[in-house]
Parts: sequence; C-alpha cells; structure tokens
Amino acid sequence: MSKNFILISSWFLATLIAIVIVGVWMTVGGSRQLLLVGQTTDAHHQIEVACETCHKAPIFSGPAVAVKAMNKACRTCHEDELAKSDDSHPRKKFRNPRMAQFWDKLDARLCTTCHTEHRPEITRESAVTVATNFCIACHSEGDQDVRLIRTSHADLSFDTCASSGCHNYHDNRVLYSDFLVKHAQTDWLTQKPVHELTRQARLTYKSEEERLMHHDAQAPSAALFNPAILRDWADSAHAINAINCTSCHAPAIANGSDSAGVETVWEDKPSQKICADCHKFEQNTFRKGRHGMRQHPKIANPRDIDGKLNSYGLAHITPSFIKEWFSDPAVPMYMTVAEARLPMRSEAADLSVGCGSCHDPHSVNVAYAAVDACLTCHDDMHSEAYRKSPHYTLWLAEVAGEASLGTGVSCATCHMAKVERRGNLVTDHNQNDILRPNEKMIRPVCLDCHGLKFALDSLADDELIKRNFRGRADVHVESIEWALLREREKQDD
Amino acid sequence: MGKIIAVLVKHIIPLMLTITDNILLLLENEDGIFVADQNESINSVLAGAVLLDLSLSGQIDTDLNSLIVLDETPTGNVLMDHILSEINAHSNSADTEHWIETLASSRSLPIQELALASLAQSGAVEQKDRNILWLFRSRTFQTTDLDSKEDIKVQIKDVVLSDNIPNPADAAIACLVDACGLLPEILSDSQIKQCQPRMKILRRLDLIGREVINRIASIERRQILKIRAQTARRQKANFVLSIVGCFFAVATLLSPRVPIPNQFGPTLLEYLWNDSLWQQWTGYLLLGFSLVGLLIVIVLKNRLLTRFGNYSTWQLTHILLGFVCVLTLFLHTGFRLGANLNTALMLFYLVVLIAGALAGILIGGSSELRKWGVPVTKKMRKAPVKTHIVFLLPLPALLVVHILLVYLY
Repeated sequence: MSKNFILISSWFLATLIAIVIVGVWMTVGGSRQLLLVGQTTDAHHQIEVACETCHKAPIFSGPAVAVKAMNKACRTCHEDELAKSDDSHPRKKFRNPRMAQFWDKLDARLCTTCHTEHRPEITRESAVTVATNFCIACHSEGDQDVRLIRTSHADLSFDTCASSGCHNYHDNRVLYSDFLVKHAQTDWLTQKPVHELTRQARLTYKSEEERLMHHDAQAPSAALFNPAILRDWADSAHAINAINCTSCHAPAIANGSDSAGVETVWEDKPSQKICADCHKFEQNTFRKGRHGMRQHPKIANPRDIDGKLNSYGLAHITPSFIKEWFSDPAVPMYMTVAEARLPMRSEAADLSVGCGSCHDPHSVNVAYAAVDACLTCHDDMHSEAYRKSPHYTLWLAEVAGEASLGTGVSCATCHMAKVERRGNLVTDHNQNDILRPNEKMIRPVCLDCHGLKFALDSLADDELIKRNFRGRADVHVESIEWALLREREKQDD
Repeated sequence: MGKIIAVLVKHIIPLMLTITDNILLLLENEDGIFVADQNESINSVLAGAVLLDLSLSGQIDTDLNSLIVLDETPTGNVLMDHILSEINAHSNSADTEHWIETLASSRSLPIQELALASLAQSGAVEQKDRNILWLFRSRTFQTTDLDSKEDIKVQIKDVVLSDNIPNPADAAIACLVDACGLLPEILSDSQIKQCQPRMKILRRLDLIGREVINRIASIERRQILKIRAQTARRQKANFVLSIVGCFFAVATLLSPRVPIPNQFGPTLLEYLWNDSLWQQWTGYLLLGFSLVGLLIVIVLKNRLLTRFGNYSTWQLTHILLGFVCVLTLFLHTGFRLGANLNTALMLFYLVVLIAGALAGILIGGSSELRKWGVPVTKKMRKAPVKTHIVFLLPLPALLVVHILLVYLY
C-alpha cells in the first residue's frame, strides 16, 4: 500500500465516522448543542436541548410537514396566552379563504412567519423576526389602508405602528379606541391608589382561633428542637392557615393515609411537588414563566435510545458507554442564575430557581419574596433603580405598617400580579403574562393607581423604565388624543 | 520484479539508449515519473534528438537547405521508425528547422508519447495506467532504475568538463542539453562558465549535430520568449487575482456582517440572506465552484487534460475559481460566520481560501516580490499550499452536516 493510499483512506474513514456520529446525534440520540444553527431566542434558550419540543415532525419530513408541526408546537404552549389576550390577529381569521390575498404578503396563519427561531440577527423585541414595519403588508392597500381610514394616520410611517406604544399585533386590550376614550380623562394618580387584589389577598388570613401555634407543631422530636424554624413556621401564613409541619414533611400522616409514626415517613427536604399539591395555580404559572419553564409539561422528553436501538436489533450489543454518549441530555429541572440572559449578580450565579429560592419554606415571607428575593439575582438597571424609586418608598411604608395594605409597590406587584381564580386570590407566577409587550401590565396593575394616559406614556419611555419610574415620562403617546378626535369626527358625521 | 529487471538491465545487459532516451530520462521528475505534457519546447528538443539519432545511425543527412533520407530500412526503434517514415513520405525537401517544428507540433505523431513508448520498449521505464475517480484514465511512466538520471548527468559532466575526445552521441547529448537550457540542472554556475570553450568545440564536431542544435537553440529562444511572456501574463493574473481574493477572504473573516434591512418587502439583501431558495442556490453554486476547483487540482496533478491547456492555464483557472468562490461565499453568507458547526465550516473554508490565495500570491508574484526585496523560497511557497490542503480535509464532513441540518430540521 502506498503512503498516499493510506492517507486518503484514513481521511475518508475519518470523514465517514464524523458524518455517522453527527447522523446518529440527529436521528437517534445525543446532545445536539453543536448542531444549533444560531442562538436560540431568550424565550426558548432554556429548553433548547429538547429540540423535539418545537421540531415535532419526524426527521426527513418535507418542509410543509415540518412547518405545520412546528406551528402546532407554538400553539401548544402559547394558545391559552393568545386567547387570554383577545388576539387582534387570530389564526382562525387568516385561515378564511377570503384572506388568501394576504397569505403571500405575510402568512399570518403561521406563527413562524413572524417568529423564526435561531436567527439572532433579525430577532427583535418579543422574538419578532420580520421587519418592524411589517404592518405595511396588509394595511397599506385597499379598504385596509389605515392612512385613508384614519386621518390622524395619514402621514405616519409603518415602522411606528408597534414601536410607539400605540398598537400590538396580538394584545391590544388597553389600546383599542373605546378603552382609550373611556379612560381619557383620568388624572395621573387615582383618588385611592391601592392595588385592590393585593390588598384583598392580605386580608384573607384565617381567624386567630383556627391558626396553629408552637405547641400544635407535628414533627419528630429532633425537628422540634430547632426553635428558629419553629418560630418562623408559627409566624407564617402556613401556621395561620392551619398547615402543620406534616403537611409538607409527612403528607401521608397529614392526610391520614399512613398511621405510622411521624419519624418513619418524615422527609427533611420535601420536593417542589409538595408545594404544588396546594399551590397548583402558582406551579402552573411558574412553569409557564421564565423562572420555571424548564418544568413545563409540554417539553419533549429525551429520545428513547434504548427503544431505537431495539428497533434496529442493536440494544444488546451496544456497550453502555456508547448508549450514554448517544443519550439525549434531559432538560434540567431548574435554571441556574448563571444561565440567564438578563444581567444578574455574579455572586448569585450558582443559585437555581425553584419555590424555595424565593420563599423560605418555614417563614414563607412574601415580603421577602416580593422584593429581596428578586434583587438577590437581578442586576439590570431597572432592578438597580428600584430602591431609589417612589414605588419602593410606598412599599417600605406598607411593610412598616405606616400605610394601608395594597399601597406599596413591590417587584411582585407589577411582575407577579395577584389574580382572582375560582373565588380565590392567587399569584400569577408567569411574569410574562403581564410583561411583554408591557402595555399588558396596564389593566391588571397600573390602572389601580394611575391614569391610562400617564401609564401609556410611562411604559413607552425606555429611559424612565430604566430609572424604575423615578420622574416623569419624556415620551408622549398620542393614542388617546387621536381616539378622542376620531370620536368627535364620528359625532360630527 | 521491476527493480530486479532494472538491476539486470543496468549491470548485466547494457542498455542501448538513444540520444532521445537520454534527454527524456533527464526530464523525469523527482519521483522518477514521466507524464506527457503538451509543451512545445520539450517536443522541439525531442524532435531534434530523434533527428540526431537518425543522423548518427546514418538514416538521414542534412545540408543547409534540406534534410534527406539516406536509408529507409527500419531501425527497430518505434520512434525513429515513425519519424523516418514520416520524413520519407514527404516528397518536398524541407530543412531541419521545418522538420523540428513539424514534428514538435504534429498531433498525428505525438512525439512525447512515442518517445516514452520507445523508452518503455527499451526497458528503461515502466508504463503505468490507472483510473482516477472512475472518470479519468491517467498514463504515467516510471523509471525502472532511479539512478539512470544521475548516470546521464555524470556522463554529461564527464563530456563537458574533461578534455577527452567524446563519442558523437555523447557530444550531441551535451550540446542538446546546452541548447535547451538544461545545463544549469547539471552543472554549477562556475562549471558552466568553465566549460564554455569545450562546448564551442563540441558544437563544431558534427554537421547535422551542429545544424540541429543551432535550429533547436533558435526555436528554443523564440519559444522561451513566447512562453516567458505568456507565463508572465498568467503569473501576473494569478498574483492580482490572489491578492484580491485574499483581501475578500480576510474581509469575510473580519468584517462585520452586512445587515439584513429592517424594511418589509422584497429586497435583494433580504432574498440573499433570508430566503431559503436563494440560500440554496448560492450554497449549491459555492459547492459546485469548489468541486470544480478541486477537480482542476486533480487534473493538474495528474496531467489529465493536457490537450486542453497547459499547466499554467489550469493553474489560473483554479485561482480564478477560488476568487469566484470568495464572491459566492459573500453572496451566501454576507460576512456571517454562523454558529457552532457552521462556524467551523466557515472558518475552515476561509482558511482554505486565504491559504490558497497566499499560495497564489507567492507563486504568481514571486518575481514581483523579488523586485520588492522579498525573496520567495520553495519552503515559503509550500507552507500555504500545505495549509490549503490540510484545512480542506474536514470540509466534506462539515459540509454534509451543514446540508443535513438545512433539510432535517
């Protein structure tokens, strides 16, 4: 054999092996981080190892099947959110054949038309990957031409539609004309600036007769000798609401299904599942938000390497280290702070985000969870400025008992708002529900204390947001004036 | 087996090599391999050598105006017999220069191939046929005795540096080597200076030898000037193309990407870098150009298509394709390096292009660089060529993955 033959054969073999390895990663199992064609968006980077969550179509499916399956995956997780937002451009509207004229311009039947993954270069706010002036596709011609329909819009360019605080593609619940007209005349501050649901939530404790005291604690004697923990629990909302130690540490005792001694079933560190047994809504919303999305039930499971090997008849002859090497990495249950894309405190890098990260399990101090827990990790300008903001001053006064309940504004007041659900007041742990676009925050939060005009202007001013609303907005959104003008025009007609 | 025969041939049965055989053996490359090359300069030397062989064997004679056949009897040598019958078949008398030019450029009588066949017949070389990529057939000739070239060099040295009376064939070989400018390969500069008086005597020894050698020298001078001018033009083109290509390749590596405009509606840039169909077009074009470039290297290395252009033509085409690849790469990526394995593909490909361009600069611009005081050594030329080849090796695997990723996900 000549030297050349050996060299060429070795190269050919190495190339073949490399292709086979990557082919196996693609089709059977193994980490596919190296195969990512572009950075995943902030929305999905935590779950990027579970490719099948979005890439649902079988491998080698045609592009039509792949796109269809991918869009179905989008809807699987985001459909409820869109329905709740009273979507202005629902998919069903564009599936109507009468809308076929618009399909070529901007196919609004598909989420992926505007939200393409792994394209960091063209990914704009809210993971939008079409040009900012995309409204031009449908609203610049014929009876949809807004410049003709609305005289106020005659001289406007299309790149300002969604960027000036006037319109959103999906959620316009506080931006539609009637709402603007209805709230047009409100002052910047309401007469009773209280966040009502938060106030009510703090009043719903049980009476003193029903609450548990130190001596009611059901726990192994060793645990009872920890006075700090006992004190924390006795002062907590859990004790006030008659939740004993066994409810979390020995649920079998608490619900009566096990009559053995507490010591035998006692668990020192109960899992997050225990919290979810009672706080189902909180858990569900937590799993939809950025903090807990890795626990979202729709995330695809790792591919079944054993099953695939079995189907090829290779399971029994494949060494375990090969199986391990070609096994999909599972999405970790918790995200660490270091993995976050937002600016975070370096000292918090190793922390992970679970129930216990913000809520001390014994004191269950919601005041801590509402501010201090957030600021333990978050280090962006908005978070940094919070402690210098008027909202924080109000919060300190409420916590100190110097102001009425619900007058303080914590991080959680705006980002984890209280909502009413089946007669109960619960906390929405999905920050995104009222965060992007930020006008979503106006109805459930801002309007309790502020006028619509003030809120719209404030939320449209990026610099003011960075200062955490210290001062007044330098930006003015003219929506209300234009809505009023249109109303007058209608009346004149 | 070949080696045993070569030893036998060398030590037991003395080879009767003709002048043509000797000249041909001097033209072998370092590995002892001959490949046919449509180089008219070599053909002229070989034509002259055959005429000298025929003259020394008394088959032909020449005067100032014509070349005449004295003896039509076949000699048993393939090449000599073909040439003899060709001259014999020609009714009009023509001079030596005419015959050298006719034989050198004749397509019906491929002199190099016949000379190699004749050499193979004598057992001095072995014919090797092989298939390349199942498409091309390549024929090469390998010397059975790797020392034969050195033996001839020693023999020539002996003739030109000593005062002994040489036999006519040795004198003719020495003169022919001198005429076609091969002496610097055998002698040092001082030895060449020293042997000039001796060369004058050798050139006067034989009429036909003198005539043939003078004609060859004249043809050589003309052809050398022509080839030099042509080579200089192509080398300049190589140099310029390589510099521009290198600039674009480095720019692709270092430049910030050309942004996709944030404007809704079809724009060229939007199509180029955001439209799947256009991406496929530019991608496959890039692949096509790269493959053709690779194919040209195979053609160059194995002298497969010498009838359709000489070495420098193919070399220029290869560099031109490299330049086209850089431009197509820009159309495909817009200076984007991609992510993960795609970044690896892009970086390896860029190194291949940059190293290739550097090789083009050093090879094509060696004379220009020398003028600017930058001497280009063989080692300097080899380094970018080696880099060009080594960084090419992972590309097929990375490319397959790149294409699979586009279609599978």
